Amino acid sequence: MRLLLLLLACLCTQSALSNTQRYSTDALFEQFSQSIFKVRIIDINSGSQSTIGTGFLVEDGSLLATNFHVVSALVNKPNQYRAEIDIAGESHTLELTSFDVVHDLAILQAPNKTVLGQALTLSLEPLNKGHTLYSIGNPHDIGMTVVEGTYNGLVAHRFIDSIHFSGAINSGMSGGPTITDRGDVVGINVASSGDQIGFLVPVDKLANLLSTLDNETNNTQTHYELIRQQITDFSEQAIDELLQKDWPLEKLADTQVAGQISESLSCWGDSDNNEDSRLKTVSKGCSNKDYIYINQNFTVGSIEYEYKHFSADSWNSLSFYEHINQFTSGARPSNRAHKNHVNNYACQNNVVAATDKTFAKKISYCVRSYKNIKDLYDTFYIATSIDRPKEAMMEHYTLSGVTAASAHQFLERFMEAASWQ
Amino acid sequence: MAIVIEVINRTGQVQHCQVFDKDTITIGRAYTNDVIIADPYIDPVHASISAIDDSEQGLYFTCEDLSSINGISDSKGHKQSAKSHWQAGQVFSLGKTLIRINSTDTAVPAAVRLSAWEQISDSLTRARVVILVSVLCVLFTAVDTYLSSFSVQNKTAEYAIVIYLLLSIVVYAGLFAFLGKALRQDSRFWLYYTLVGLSIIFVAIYDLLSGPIFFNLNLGVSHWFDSMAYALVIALLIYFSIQSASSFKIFTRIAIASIIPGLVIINLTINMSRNNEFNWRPQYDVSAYFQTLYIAKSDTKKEVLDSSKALYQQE
Repeated sequence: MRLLLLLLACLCTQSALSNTQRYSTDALFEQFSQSIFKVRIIDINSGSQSTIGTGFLVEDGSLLATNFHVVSALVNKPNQYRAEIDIAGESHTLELTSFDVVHDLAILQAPNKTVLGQALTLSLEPLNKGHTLYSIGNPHDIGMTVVEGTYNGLVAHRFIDSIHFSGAINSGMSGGPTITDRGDVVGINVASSGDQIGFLVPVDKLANLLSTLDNETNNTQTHYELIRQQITDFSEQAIDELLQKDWPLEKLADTQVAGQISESLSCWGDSDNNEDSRLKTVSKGCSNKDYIYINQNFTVGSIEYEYKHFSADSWNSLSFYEHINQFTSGARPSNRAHKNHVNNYACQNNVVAATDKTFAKKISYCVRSYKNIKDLYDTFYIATSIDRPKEAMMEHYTLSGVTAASAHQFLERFMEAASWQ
Repeated sequence: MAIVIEVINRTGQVQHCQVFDKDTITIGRAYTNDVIIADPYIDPVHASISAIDDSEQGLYFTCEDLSSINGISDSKGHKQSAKSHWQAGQVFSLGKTLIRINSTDTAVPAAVRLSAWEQISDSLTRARVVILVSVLCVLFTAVDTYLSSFSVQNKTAEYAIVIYLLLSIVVYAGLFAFLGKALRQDSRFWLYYTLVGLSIIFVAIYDLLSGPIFFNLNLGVSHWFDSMAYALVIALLIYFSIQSASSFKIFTRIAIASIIPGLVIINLTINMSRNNEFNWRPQYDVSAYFQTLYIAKSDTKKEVLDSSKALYQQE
C-alpha cells in the first residue's frame, strides 16, 4: 500500500511538473541534450571503454537512468568495470544504485548524491498511436543524435510491456530517453529489430523503479538476490497466468493440442506432405517474445511449446519410429546460457502409460539450475507418443528462469494437455 | 656329415629346405650349383659353404665369397669377409635372400598341437558356410538399408552399399590371405571372408535390435554402447584373423586386436571425463518405438512428477 501511495505521489508530482511548451526538433535537442549523456563502461585494467550506452538525469538530477544491459558488467564483474559519464569534459564515476532486470532499467548515482544537471520530466499520460516522438541517444558512438519516429502502442505477444517505436534506434542509443515534443520522457530506448522497428521501455516502469529506491529490502539485497527476486516475480506471474487459464484445444491432424493459451504468446503452424518420402507432418507452436538480459551470454524469460504430428501410412513401424527418433534428437533450449551462469542439464527418461486424458509416451525431462541466481531453473521437456504404429505426436516445451514450483505445475499441466481426438 | 640349407623369410618362416650329404656345397643362380636360388642379386656362383667338424671347436661352417658382386652379410646386414665362420642355426644373407645353415644333427622343436580353432576354421571355409554367410550378409544389410531409408524415394544409391560391403569383404579377406601366405604359408581366403561376413551380420542384427532393447532398458544415451559393441566385433575379427594368418603369440594377438577397442575406450574415457564440462544442450534420450516393443513396466504420471523433483536438487 505504501508503495502504491508513493507511486501515485510520484506520478502526481511528475504530471504537475510536465512541460506545456512545445518544441521544434532542433529546439528540443538544444533544450534537453544537457540532461542526456553517453554512459561509458570502463574496463579498469585497460582504462578503456568496453561498452557504451546513453543515460538521462531523473528525479533531482543526481540520478541517471539507463538500461540494465548497458551497465550489466557492473553486476556481473563489479571489480573489473566502472561506469562514467562526461560533463563538460570532466569524467564522473557513477555507482549502480538499483535496477529492474526484467524491464531492463538501471539507476546510477553520482557519489554524495551530487546534482549533475537538470532532470528530465517523466510523462505518464497515455499516447495515441501515431504520436510523434523523439528518441535521443549516441548511436554507434558517433555523437548525441535525435531521431524522429512515431508511437505505435504496446508490442503484442509479450508478458513484459514494451512500446513499439517506429524510428531508427541503434546500438549505443540504449538507455536514452524517447520524449514528446514537450520534452517529457515517455519511454527508454532498449532494442531494435531493424527497419525502423524500435522498442522502448514504458516510462511507468522507470517510475516504479524510482519509487523503490528507498525500499530497505532492496538496499540490503545483493545484486544477484535482487535479480532472483525480480525474475521470480516475473516468471511466477507469467506461469500463473498460463496455469490459471483454460487451455484452448486446437485440432492438429487427428490430435487435440493446447492452442494459444495467452495473448502474451505468439503462435504459428506449419505442415509438410512430402510425396517423395510419403511422410506427413503438421505442427503448431507458441512462444513469447520476451527475454530478460542478464549479460551477453545469458538471457532468461523465454516460454515456448510446440507440437508436431507425424504420419506415414506406407512405412513400417520400426522405420517410422527410427525416423521420429532422429527428428527428436536435436532439440535445444530457447535461451542463451553460458557455463559461468548455468549448470549442466540433468535429465530423466520415462515411458508413461496412456491415461483417459493423453496418449502413451516416452518423455525426457531435463532441468538445469543457475549458478549465481539461486532457486531458478531452465526446464526442457520433449515427448513422443508410442501407442500408434505409424502415427506419432511429438510434444515439447522449454521454460527459462522459473522456480521449481512453477516448473512442476507447468509439467503436470502440459503432460496431459494433448490427446488423440 | 650333411649340410642343411633353409631359405627363410623375414619372419623366420622356412620357405625351402634342402639337405646335402657332403661337406662342401656351392650357392648361386647357375644350374651347376648345389643350392640354386632365383634371386637376381645373387651371382651365378656366389659362395661355397663347408662344414668342418673340429675336435676342439666342434661343428662349424665356413662360407667363402666367390668374388660375388653383393657379397655376404649377417642377419643384421653387416658385410662379412671373404671367408667367414658360422655356427649351426645362424642366418646370413646373399643378395636379398636369407639363408639359415644347419646340420642334420641339429634338433628340431616338437610339433605344435592343432587347436580347436583349426577345426572351426576348416568348417568356416566349407562352400555351404561361405554361401550361407554371403546370403545372410546381403540379406541383413539390405534389410537394414530398407528400414533406414524410408524417407528416400529412389533407394538405388542406398542399396549400392551392399556392393561396397561385398567389395570390402573381398579386400579384407584378400589382405589377410596374403599375410597368411607370407607369414604362415596358409592363405585361407574363404576363412577371412566368412569371418568378416559374420561380423557384418552381427553388426546388422545389433543395429536392428539395439534400439528396441535400449528403449526397454531405458538406459538413456546409448551411443557409448554402440561404440563398444562395434569395437568388440572388430577386435574379435582382427584377433581370429591374426591367429589364422600368423604364428604370433597370444599376447601379441591380443595387443594388436586391442588397438581399435583401446582407441574407443580412450575416446569414451575422455568423453566421460568431459561429462562434467558444460554442455549447452540437454543430453536427453527420447528414442521411442511402438509400444508393442515395450515390455518393461510403464511409469505413471505421478511417478514422473515425483521423480522429477530430484532434478531440482542438483548443484
